[in-house]
Amino acid sequence: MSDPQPGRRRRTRLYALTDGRTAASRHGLTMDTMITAAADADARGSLPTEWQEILAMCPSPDGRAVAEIAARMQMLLTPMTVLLGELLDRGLIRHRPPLDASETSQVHLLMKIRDSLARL
Amino acid sequence: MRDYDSAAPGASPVKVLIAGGFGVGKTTLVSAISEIDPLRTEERLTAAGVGVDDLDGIENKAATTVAMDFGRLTLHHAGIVLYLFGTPGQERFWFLWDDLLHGALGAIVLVDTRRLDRSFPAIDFFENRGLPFVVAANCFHGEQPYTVEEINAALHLRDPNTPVLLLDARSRDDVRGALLSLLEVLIARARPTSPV
Repeated sequence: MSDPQPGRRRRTRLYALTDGRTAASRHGLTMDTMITAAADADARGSLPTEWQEILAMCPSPDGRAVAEIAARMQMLLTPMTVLLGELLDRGLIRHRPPLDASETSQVHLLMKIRDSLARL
Repeated sequence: MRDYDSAAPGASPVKVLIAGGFGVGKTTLVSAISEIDPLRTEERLTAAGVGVDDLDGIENKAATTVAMDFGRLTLHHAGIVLYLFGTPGQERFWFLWDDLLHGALGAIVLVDTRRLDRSFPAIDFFENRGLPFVVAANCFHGEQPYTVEEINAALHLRDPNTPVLLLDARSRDDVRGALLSLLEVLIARARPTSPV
């Protein structure tokens, strides 16, 4: 309730990570959007440490959801979304939106999910 | 959304919500089937919903930080990554959190039959918002004194066909069974509009 980050490890001020951008939803990134590092992100050495950490944790092709990156980076969801929007603008990451209602209401897909679950 | 060329390769994410009162075993359920140790993500919410006001560092007394534990389950054959999100304990806040509900496939409402009333808010919420769900009664210590029929009657479910299951939230098979039950509900709903 009080301070959301008691006893947390080091903090970089958000505006320093995002160049002061705050347009969180401009890219439509949500907690369940999948993020993968772009294949051509060679020059990572010159990037801020936090950015490198993020790129390292979402290798192609599987990637990680925004919520997972936020949790592993110990950041709140909204600031993480802002930061990922910046990485997206710079072509450092790719994103895959969650399936929308028109897709998740398809019987074939639902049956595929069911059959995959049954086989676990 | 704007550019398809930046769409990530690989499996598509899909969200399933795990709801229920505090202490009912949501995180236990998630960890029983997740391929990773459950993670915790947090968001700052205000009565007006998710704000960006927290970016300027000014304290807002109406704001609170909610935490969700979640896990992941990759279904390679289906090309799907299921993210199982345990809903935060502070219901009056997460009920305002549209991003949490938006795009969710469905929900498992986990109930403790010793404290059935704690599951009413989540059930009411999903019924009002039209999110498909199944009810899973957690059997603490492997015991459940009530039958499915008794639980069903006590919950006054709007749709009498809503599945009510008994499970042990620690059991991977049981949790998988609850997910399968949810999928059957979804398949039944989808059939009339998109026949096979």
